[in-house]
Amino acid sequence: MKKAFAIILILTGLMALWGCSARKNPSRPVIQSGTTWTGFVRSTILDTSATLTDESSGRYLYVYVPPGYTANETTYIRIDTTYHVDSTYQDTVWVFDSTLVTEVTNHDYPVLYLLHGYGGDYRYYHLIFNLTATLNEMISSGEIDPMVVVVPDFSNRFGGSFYANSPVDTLPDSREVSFSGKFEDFFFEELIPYVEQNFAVDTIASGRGIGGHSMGGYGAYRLAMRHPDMFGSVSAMSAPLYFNALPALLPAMFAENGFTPGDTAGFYAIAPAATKRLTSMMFAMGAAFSPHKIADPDTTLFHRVRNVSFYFGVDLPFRIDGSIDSAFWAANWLPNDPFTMLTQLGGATALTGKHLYLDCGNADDLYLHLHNQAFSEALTAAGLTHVYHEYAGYSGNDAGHINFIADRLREVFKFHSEAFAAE
Amino acid sequence: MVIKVRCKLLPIILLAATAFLSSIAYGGGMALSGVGAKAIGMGGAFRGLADDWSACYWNPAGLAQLDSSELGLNLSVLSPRPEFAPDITYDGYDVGYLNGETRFPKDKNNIVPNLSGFLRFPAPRDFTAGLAVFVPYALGSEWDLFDPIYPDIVVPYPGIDHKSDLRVIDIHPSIAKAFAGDKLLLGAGISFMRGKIEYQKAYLNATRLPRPHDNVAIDARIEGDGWGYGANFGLLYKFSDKLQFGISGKTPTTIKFDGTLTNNLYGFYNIPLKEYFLQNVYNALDSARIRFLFPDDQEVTSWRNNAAAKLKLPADVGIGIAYRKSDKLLMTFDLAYTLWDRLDSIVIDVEGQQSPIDPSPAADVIVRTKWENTLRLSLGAEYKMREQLRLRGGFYYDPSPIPDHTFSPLIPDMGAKYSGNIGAAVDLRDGWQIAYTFEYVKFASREITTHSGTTIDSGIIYDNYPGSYKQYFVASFLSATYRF
Repeated sequence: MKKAFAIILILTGLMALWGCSARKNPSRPVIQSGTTWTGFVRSTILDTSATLTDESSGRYLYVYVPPGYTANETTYIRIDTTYHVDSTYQDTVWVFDSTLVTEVTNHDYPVLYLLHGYGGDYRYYHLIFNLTATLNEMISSGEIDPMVVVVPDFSNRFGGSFYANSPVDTLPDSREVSFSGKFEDFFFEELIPYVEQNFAVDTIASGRGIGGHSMGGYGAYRLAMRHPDMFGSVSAMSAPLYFNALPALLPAMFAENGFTPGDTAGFYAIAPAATKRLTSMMFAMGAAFSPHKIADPDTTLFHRVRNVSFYFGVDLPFRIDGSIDSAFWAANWLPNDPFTMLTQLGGATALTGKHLYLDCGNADDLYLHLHNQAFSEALTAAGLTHVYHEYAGYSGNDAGHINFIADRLREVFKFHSEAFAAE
Repeated sequence: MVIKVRCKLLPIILLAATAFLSSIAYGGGMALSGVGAKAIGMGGAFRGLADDWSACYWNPAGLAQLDSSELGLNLSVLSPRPEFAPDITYDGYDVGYLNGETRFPKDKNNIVPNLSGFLRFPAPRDFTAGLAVFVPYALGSEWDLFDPIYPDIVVPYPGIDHKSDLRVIDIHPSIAKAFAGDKLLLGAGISFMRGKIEYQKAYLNATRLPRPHDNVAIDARIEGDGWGYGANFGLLYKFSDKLQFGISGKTPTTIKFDGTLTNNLYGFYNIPLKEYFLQNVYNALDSARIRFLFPDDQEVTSWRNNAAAKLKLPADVGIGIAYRKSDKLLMTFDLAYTLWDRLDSIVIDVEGQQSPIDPSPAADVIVRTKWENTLRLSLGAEYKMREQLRLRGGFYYDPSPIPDHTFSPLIPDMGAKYSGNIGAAVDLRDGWQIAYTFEYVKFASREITTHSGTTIDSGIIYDNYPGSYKQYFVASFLSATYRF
């Protein structure tokens, strides 16, 4: 009996031990961090005296360099910058001056110029769309190859420059100034040389990509078509690429201003404001494409932005009755329309041989999925291979204009990484 | 005298049961597979036999068969081994669940004590009465399944983010008596059920901000305890010395819990982004919401509400047959039908306001269950190896009552269970007997592909956890009985 008792005890012990071991959950992947820099480009092109709207004469830029990138930090100046006037928060950033040159020659990384959307600046992707963490994760996991990503600041007093050279006019004192800044020239003549001087990046087209969201995507295709030798890959997320679909926004813009077509006083009272997003964006496009000639007394399409002795404002392409002024539209806005540039102004030739990508949410607040459908069809008609993805959101969160850009960035990085590798 | 001792022991028993019991779930729904080393050793095919203290659980009529008074101590060592590979997205979008990898809960061996004492009153009174304290329902698991996708979380999200811990202790007085020349036995018991519950999971609240800040994670914890009352009844009929038949059942029981709901909001610590959003919202309500989501300090925002809930435990009914083929071999067979469908949902009535910035009355939390009735089949046998040694074996099949569209690892009854049981009992001197049973339960694996937001049944949106589930379970049951 003692034997049986002992056997039972041993069995009990053994059985109790079965399943005793604690299983371990998979460990989290190791993510290496790249380095982010805040640079500052001093500009003569955007010098305050060179713009009617007194734009600031320098621009910050965000630069992400991948893990493994080494640089001589001693050449940088450390300063503290307070971003926020109404809080005690202060962010310490490394800023380097464009007059300082560092020698970084260990590797030439491909570089993606990622252009921000309307209302944003160089912090746009990092702040809102998780850019830095996404790049760290994707590069660490090998999902994309290491690359340098540059987000410049193309904001202006209208909230966005549309990456264009705002037309030049002659002031009463005979000075010639751009209305709101020659941002296209700034990009190619000052910003890119600055990046290539300070960072170990490729300096050939196949090693340069350009992309962006919304106004940034517009800028990417605009600049790629106007400078065909500069970029090997182009991408756009939810970008306005077909201006003939823009008038669909006019009723909402009129509503922002309480304007009823036919109301003359209301027409001239239309003005941008922080609470009037569409109106502000339309004025920014006006500043980029059709500022009012300061000596021109024709105020049919004129909207004043500053009370001075001359006509300081923009012409917008709709009349008092709310209809589009076709002649003005064709002369001033359509030449800046990516669809028109592609189909009529040599854009198809400029994009030949490049890697092309565009996407848009299927519930875009600005109806930009219609723009992208049209532009994609035009690319196809031109025989240009491209990727177009129209995506949906999830239940309770439609694929609006900005909701899913953090996710689309992953696709954009994969696209550019593959494009860089293909060259 | 015995009763006095028992009364003194009762608080200790309750305390011990409460202290040891955690992280269990392997019976149907939230039920354990039964009580008693002998009954479990015979696969739970015990309603037609019911000849030891555990008859108070399986078929109280069987208590009338006890030859003498007895005291019993039982220990169960339970080791659930579930695993779960989550595939939880919002229409394909990652929202933070740790998809694509097999996850394990916090593995534990759980020791559950049961105690019993029954007095046999000989003729002319000729009945048996007593008390058992056992654990009929328990479930529990602790998982790390989630990490918010936003990188600027105020503090790291808890490692254990999903937890269920339900403990129901049944204080169960019973009485049984034989009639018709000991051919017909009747018995009944009353359940005083003490329940304690803890339930924790991650909730995602939509923020209306762009991803990855589209949802903010709230770690919600419900804790409470309460009482419920029920009864069970049984009949045992002996056709002959070789064949007897039993039928038994129990009433439904509702345990009313009172407790608290604690919400811990893991907001965004990102002052530049907060400033950006504040500059881009144009009404006070949205500004208040932004300030709520983006605290100024790296601290969790917590608020607590009183809460109450009712847990509806099922009725069941079962029949059993015991057939003694020879002096040495005894065989049993059971069928039991459990009415889990009364557990349609668990409604948690929350008092107070919705949140610190929303003064509207707090919405009830509804855990949808929609469980289904189950039919369990059990087979068992006992073989008398020697006069003092008996070997036991059993099998049962028990489907899961939980449908795919409400299934989550928090109640990890993964699938239909196939149990193999073996055991032995040894009679010692001076009225002592010890027994041991080992149980291995293999669960059918479960694949859930239905999205949690799927609308089923008149627009109700369930909250299941898609992914792949597997589980097995091992348990040891040791009992010591003193007969006097």
